[in-house]
Amino acid sequence: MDSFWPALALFAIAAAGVLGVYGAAAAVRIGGGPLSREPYMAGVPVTEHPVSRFHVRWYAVTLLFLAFDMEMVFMYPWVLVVAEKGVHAVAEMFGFLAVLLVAVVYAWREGAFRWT
Amino acid sequence: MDLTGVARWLARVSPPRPLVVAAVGGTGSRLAVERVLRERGLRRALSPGEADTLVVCGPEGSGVDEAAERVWDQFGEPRARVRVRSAEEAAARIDEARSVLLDLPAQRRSAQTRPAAAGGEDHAQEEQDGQEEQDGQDEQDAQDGPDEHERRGGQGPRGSQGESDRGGAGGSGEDGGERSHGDGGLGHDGHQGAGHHDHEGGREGGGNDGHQGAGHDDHEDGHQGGGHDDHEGGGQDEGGHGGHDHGGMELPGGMTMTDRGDDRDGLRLDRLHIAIGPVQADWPCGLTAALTVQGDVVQEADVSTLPLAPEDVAVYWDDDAHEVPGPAALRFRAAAAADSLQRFLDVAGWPAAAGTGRLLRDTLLVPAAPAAGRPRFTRWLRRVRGSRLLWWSLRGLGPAPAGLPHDPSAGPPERLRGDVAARVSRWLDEIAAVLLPETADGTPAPAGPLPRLGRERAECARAALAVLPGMLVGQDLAAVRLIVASFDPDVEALAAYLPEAAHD
Amino acid sequence: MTDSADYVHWWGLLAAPMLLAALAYAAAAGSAVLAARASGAPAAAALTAPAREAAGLLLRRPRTVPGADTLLRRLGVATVPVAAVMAALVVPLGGRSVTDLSIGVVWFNAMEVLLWAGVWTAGWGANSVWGLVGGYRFLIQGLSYELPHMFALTTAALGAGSLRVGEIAAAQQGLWFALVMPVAFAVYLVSTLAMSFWPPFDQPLGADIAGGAAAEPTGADRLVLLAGRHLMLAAAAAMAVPLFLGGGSGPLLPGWLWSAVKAAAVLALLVWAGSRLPAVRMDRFAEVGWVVLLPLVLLQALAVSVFVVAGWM
Repeated sequence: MDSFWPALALFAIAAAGVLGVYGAAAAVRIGGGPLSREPYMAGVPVTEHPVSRFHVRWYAVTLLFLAFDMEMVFMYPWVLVVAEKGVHAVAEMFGFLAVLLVAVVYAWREGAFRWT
Repeated sequence: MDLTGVARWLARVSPPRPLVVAAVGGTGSRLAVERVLRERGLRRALSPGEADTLVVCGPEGSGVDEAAERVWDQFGEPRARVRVRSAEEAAARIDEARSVLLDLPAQRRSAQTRPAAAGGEDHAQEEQDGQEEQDGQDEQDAQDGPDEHERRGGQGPRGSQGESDRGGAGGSGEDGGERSHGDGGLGHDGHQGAGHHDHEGGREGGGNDGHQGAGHDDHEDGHQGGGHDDHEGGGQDEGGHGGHDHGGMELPGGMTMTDRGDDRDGLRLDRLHIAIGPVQADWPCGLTAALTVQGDVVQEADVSTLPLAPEDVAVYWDDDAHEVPGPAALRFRAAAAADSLQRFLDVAGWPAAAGTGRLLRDTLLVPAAPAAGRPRFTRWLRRVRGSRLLWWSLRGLGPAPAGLPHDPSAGPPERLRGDVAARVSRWLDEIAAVLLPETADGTPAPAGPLPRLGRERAECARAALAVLPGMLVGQDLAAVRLIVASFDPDVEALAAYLPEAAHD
Repeated sequence: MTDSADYVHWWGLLAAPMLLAALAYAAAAGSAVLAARASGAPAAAALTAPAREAAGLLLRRPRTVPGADTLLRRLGVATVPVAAVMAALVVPLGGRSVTDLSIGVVWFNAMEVLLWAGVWTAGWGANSVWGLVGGYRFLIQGLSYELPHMFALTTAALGAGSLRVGEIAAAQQGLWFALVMPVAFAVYLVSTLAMSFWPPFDQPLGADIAGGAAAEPTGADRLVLLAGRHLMLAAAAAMAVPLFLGGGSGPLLPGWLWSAVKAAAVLALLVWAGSRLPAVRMDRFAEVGWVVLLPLVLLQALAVSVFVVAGWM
């Protein structure tokens, strides 16, 4: 069973590093408090908050990715048993992948990858 | 620990990061500034967050000054600002800027005295108060409990709706989940304020375009007073919601939330009004594109030039001495093409090639410097021309329309025909004619004097300004930048030769 | 499986971030030198340019935008370097990594995916349209490269029959996987550029949108974001060594030195590719990622699994 304590320790070190950068900046920087200004818009006054619903035109790709990602969950453990299970395992996995690929081809023909 | 000493040392070793703004009439100084920066290995900044120096190139009086002032305000200390009026003083001004940056005590003083928040306090609803006051409403910011909402809900936007309706409608209009986020009803436009959670609240019909959707949108639209003029709406939408607890999110900065509009599929989506230019890296000087975007697709575009005060605008790319066709004239035209090309390559995300393009431009502008046959430039030319990635990504992008909007029978000038790839190829051909004179294609040199470069550029700029708004609709932001960069309208030439067109 | 596989090299907790930082600095300096040479500026001064720019960034006054979600933005920005360092948990130097997890490949993949959240949040939290567009550009880039990347990782793991990075490196004593599965190696390199939004995949920080997700962050935020980006490139380049280039194996030199040399070579290739190519726009190239790269790497995986089953590997 893996021990993840080193991962936690490395996280602590990385976080300490980031905090160290912020601390160093806080120590040497030109003070005065954070400057709050409109976001940069080429010198033109900003009229609205940019945070808004963003029309993600490639949302179909997201769904396709989800389907494949679920398949990857099976792929990682499959790697460990292919050698002993043999052709059977290979055939099943790649049959599954072929079905998913058909979905990709369908999405492609339906124009999911061209959203402009 | 003497941190001021450390800070001084850090300031001394750090290179300045200038944000270069070109005013109309300032091309000569801009070229000089870029040359100085290139020679010193300084990189230009893309935004005020990245930059510490503002270099304004050109004379005062063009509309860029106001925009530059606003951008200057967005700089954080340490900061310096210089104006370069002529090519000769570029290096001196940049050194001057550097010494201002090194003066840390003055920077600290300036940091202390500047207001931290633009126009007053940061999180205060006082900002909204300002707006409210106009409407006479003052408890905008009461993000205090539900009773407050009810009360405010009662007042509603300038009394155009029944309060209770609103309250009710507001409540029903929400999806259950969102209400807890107290859409801070910043109600500036009756847009759901409160930050980003509530858009789903689903109401708020995009008041602005008056798309009073059908059916149940009506009462909500009613809130907005059916139109964005109804800015008071303070809180209508929160009416009925509990949680006005998003105190800090209520219309901070006096900005509203986005309204909505139809897109090509009939969906009602948020629309942002953004602008590209005049203070933008790698953007033609003096040009502004006001875009309405949904996501990053442009729904409406308006391309205009800034009002130009200077009477006699100095047109850089227009030299009498080079009217006679000959190697010098070709070289000058190639320099102009290299200038446009390096901007295009920066926009296309190839900064290394853009850097060599700038080096080439600077070399071509010095009549005595050898350019043809230098392996660095021929290699660069070969790489840019042969880059399949570049041409494939530009294929079919931004085809110029066959007729100009105001004159359908006449097409755009020859230089502007075709798509983005075609226009960029013309620049490359002009450069190749100088770099590789022995391989120039067989077209004979034009007989007689060449058209004045300035007039040619003015005609192209006028045609570009005419066709661009129509071309930009439906494109995404990357394509917009590429299309404008491929046209690269010369606003200076336009102002000098065709001043009536510049003021449209 | 050697008994050192379960051993935790605690000294690596300090050594790994420092080595990663050194590689990251090398990448930054390398790209600065290439840029300087391309534009005719003195190249020697460019070697110290990243350090000097970092010094300048420490001095900047912090900025916020009204309505920005500062906590979220800071978390997003900080996620980038932290995820990169965490990904280096399993990257070995000459056979020794901080800890050789039995699922090291999955760990690496998981840490790299944290970047999606980090970059998008950094763009969103800044309350600037450029950040917003940049964050979403990174997401579509992620969606397009992630599957080929995962399949490349899986193919390498398949070749060794294990998800433990040390074993994958050890299984290449005969022949490097880069030669056995070149398509997977090429796809891995391309995905490395995409995952660390390095040119030519730097549209999320694109110059056409005023810096994208890096438009608003100033000072320390900007330093952390850009340093994280270089760290991720370094970590992924270092990971290519045990996965495809045989780990620390090689004549004459000790294992750790070979690992470092190979990682530096991969990094040099990636940095060179960054300056040599124009930016890839996802509205043209998402299709390529899905319709070309994905089937290719799947075929590669099929070939390798046939080799494995037939006992050739």
